[in-house]
Amino acid sequence: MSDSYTEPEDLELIRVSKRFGGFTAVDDLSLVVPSGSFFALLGPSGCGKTTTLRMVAGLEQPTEGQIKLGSKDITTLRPYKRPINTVFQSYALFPHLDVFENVAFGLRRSGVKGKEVESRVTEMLELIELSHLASRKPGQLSGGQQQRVAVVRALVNRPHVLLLDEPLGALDLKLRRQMQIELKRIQSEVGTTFVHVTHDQEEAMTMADTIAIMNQGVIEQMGAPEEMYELPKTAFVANFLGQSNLVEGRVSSSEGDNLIVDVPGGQVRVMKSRATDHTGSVVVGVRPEKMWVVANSEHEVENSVRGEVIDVSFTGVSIQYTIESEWDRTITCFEQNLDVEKRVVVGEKVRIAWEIDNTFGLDGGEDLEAGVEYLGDTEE
Amino acid sequence: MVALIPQRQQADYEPTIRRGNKLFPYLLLLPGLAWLGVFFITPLFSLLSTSLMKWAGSTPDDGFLPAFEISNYTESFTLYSEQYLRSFVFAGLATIFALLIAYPLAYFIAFKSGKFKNLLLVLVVAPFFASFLIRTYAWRTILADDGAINTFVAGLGLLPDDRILATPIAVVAGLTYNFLPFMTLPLYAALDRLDPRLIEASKDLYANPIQGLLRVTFPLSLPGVVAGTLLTFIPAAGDYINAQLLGGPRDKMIGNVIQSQFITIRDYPTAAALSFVLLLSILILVTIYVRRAGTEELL
Amino acid sequence: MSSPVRPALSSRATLWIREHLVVFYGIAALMYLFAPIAVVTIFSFNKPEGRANSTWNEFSLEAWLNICKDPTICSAVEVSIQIALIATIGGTILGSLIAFALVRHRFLGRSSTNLLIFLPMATPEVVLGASLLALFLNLGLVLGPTTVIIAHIMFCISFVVVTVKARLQGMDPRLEEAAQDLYANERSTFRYVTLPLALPGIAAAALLSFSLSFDDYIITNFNSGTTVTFPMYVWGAAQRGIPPQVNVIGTILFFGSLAIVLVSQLVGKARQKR
Repeated sequence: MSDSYTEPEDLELIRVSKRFGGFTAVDDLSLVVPSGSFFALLGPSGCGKTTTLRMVAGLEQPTEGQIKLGSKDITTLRPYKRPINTVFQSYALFPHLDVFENVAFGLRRSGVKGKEVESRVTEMLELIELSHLASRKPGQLSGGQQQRVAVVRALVNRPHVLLLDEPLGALDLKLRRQMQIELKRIQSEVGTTFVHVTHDQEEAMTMADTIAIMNQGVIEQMGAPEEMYELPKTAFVANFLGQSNLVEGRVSSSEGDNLIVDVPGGQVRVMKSRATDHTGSVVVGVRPEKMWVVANSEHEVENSVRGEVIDVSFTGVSIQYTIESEWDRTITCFEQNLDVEKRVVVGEKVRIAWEIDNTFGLDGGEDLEAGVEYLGDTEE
Repeated sequence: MVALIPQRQQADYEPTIRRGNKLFPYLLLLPGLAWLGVFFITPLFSLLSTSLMKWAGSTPDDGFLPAFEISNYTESFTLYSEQYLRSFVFAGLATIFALLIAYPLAYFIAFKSGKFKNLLLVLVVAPFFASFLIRTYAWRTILADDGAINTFVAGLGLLPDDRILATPIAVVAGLTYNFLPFMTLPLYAALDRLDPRLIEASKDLYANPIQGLLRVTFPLSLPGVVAGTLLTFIPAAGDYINAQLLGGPRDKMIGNVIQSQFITIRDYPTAAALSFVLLLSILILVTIYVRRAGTEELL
Repeated sequence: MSSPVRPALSSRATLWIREHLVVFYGIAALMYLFAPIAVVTIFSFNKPEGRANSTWNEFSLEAWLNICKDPTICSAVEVSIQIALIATIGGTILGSLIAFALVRHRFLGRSSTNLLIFLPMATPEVVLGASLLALFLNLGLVLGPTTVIIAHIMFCISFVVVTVKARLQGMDPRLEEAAQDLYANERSTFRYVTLPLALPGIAAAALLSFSLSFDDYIITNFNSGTTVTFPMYVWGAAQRGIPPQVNVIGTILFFGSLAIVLVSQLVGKARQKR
């Protein structure tokens, strides 16, 4: 377990399900985490991501399905028999042991000899710059320090996969940003496969090579952050990752590479390569930052929609307009703060435009509100 | 709209428990529960059967025969109803006084003691470390007829007999004192769990300190009050030491009667019947009390 | 620029009194709690005129220097200690096992078990003592130290369960998961994580059992036969007049236990920091 491995081993989940009585937490889930990658499992609370992580760690048993590490089936192995370690959400540092012994714990249980334990633990403590606190108890450390100890306590064992269960949740914003960079750096230095569970989409996008978005026990979409962001395949992903303006419509004809979709008040053009469905009722969408108010620029008008401005918010970096549009829906438009003079005011009637390439198309049956979080929703 | 997924309760995250042997927990439970079964449950049945025995001869020393003498119960009830009543009254008064004394004390420790909190908790429990009998006997010295306290209170003209000892007052005072830690600790535990910001919120909403106490603090500390009153009343009702050391011949509690029946007179059936009646009446009183207080969960 | 208005002296004083009312009360309550202890301690230094040690006569260290003047006192203390030691060991082991089962395992009959544990604490000592006596009599057993020990173990179990259970429940269940995640199997997890963390609770339970056993009078009286424990000696002496040596032992008991608890608290704090 603490030997270094040479063969790349992918982590594979094959049709894994987990049911608790009548409740299905994870539903027929399959995915492959490539060896050495930084993989994020993203989703709202209750979507099953933590349960999935625990099954990989061995702390829960799948009701159905298989888990494989490389060619080895580890589904029924006890947690202490898997070359996988976890960084827990609450850190779970042993309060009765000092920092050194906490980090040394896994090594000692694996039978590593005293001298080697000493050198490996010291090396890890130096990595996180906490060597001077080696004989302190966890209760005497700050949140950020505890978090770092929790990470190296897992890493020192040279696991084949490192699991992180929302480890940055308890930290304040600045510290969290720092730790995100730290973790990414450590991962690229050490080369271990990281599987990071979080509900913070910004965190996932910054840190991960691959993101899988989970919702109600299934994976909605999986891919590189940029690819998922620019081309969401479901309404949930479109709304959960960043923000989207969505509208229902019907494909009326095609024009070269594009589809023409009839929507209330007009038409929207979308590239065929960026639409999941090419006929019948569909949903088209575009992200707010891709749009601009027509009067403010010289771009050629490609896709557009009319409406009345009902709110203007100045965030410093951008100006966010909320518009009651002719689609019979409220849409948002983020404009970069370039020109102070030509600002639009509340009540003004405007036309909002965006490039055809930035439109994406989803299946017609999609719930336009999926993935949107409202004030009334329960917190984790 | 985010679909309504039932939130996983914290309880669902049970630790990975030893899966191997399903029988293991029963092995852990067996020795202790067996001990209780043999030396707690069975004796109660023994007591029950003894309580139904009848005299073999004309005196208790002649021995007893297994029988079904319900008259043991009815007789005890009528003969000693005075002592039963007195026991419950004394215990009730002691419980009330203990509550009145302990509540501010527990409040003090929970909210106003700062860094001395642990020390104070130890101090509250500390008298418990000295022998129960010795402590009670010390009260005899303190409340002695020629002592300062007795002289002072008698001087105020409050005492009918000009003495505290050998009166119900001394017995209740002793009971109150001896069971005070049992009242204080559960109260403290309940108060300690209170979020002080709730009191702040009540102040923000125009409650003065008294209203804050009555409408916010006290109701929220109710589980502690229930636990404390039970832990005080039950042992107090069955006590005989305070009555013996501090009371007079007319202050005997049912505990004294049971003790003398068992040890001195050795009329075991009567003694057993008296014990059972005590046990049952306590159970009934407790059940009514707990139902009314609305807290079913005691432990 | 005018200086801020300070409230009048009298109203500042009343404010101060009101705020500190609870503090005064707390101190008064503590004095009430310790009054008999103070009396016991003071009178241990008394040389009584007659048999009764109830009025102050003259200061003397005689009781302290000659504790075993009446040898029955010391043998009673010895008997009490022996019984308490065995009862503590028995009760702590049996009770801890139950506590572990209740908190860390799933099994049928959990609420019945909880009820069975709770009942002895809710039963008056008279009934507990009497019923055990009834059992021993019906079985024809001889009353003596053994029957006392049996009785003490019985009532200690409940208190041990409650104490250890509380400690275990306060323990983060994630810690055992973390241990398993770090290659500790079930036995190692227990040995390196669960047990060390439960130990303070077990120690507290043992201490509690020892005091309950040592100090018990009612149940012991019913079931001891001719054996005399320290509380029984005190009771007997209460009729004739309690010699100051009893006060000495009471004082030692009190300050000794207080010292143990305070020291263990300090040690606990130090271990947190070290």
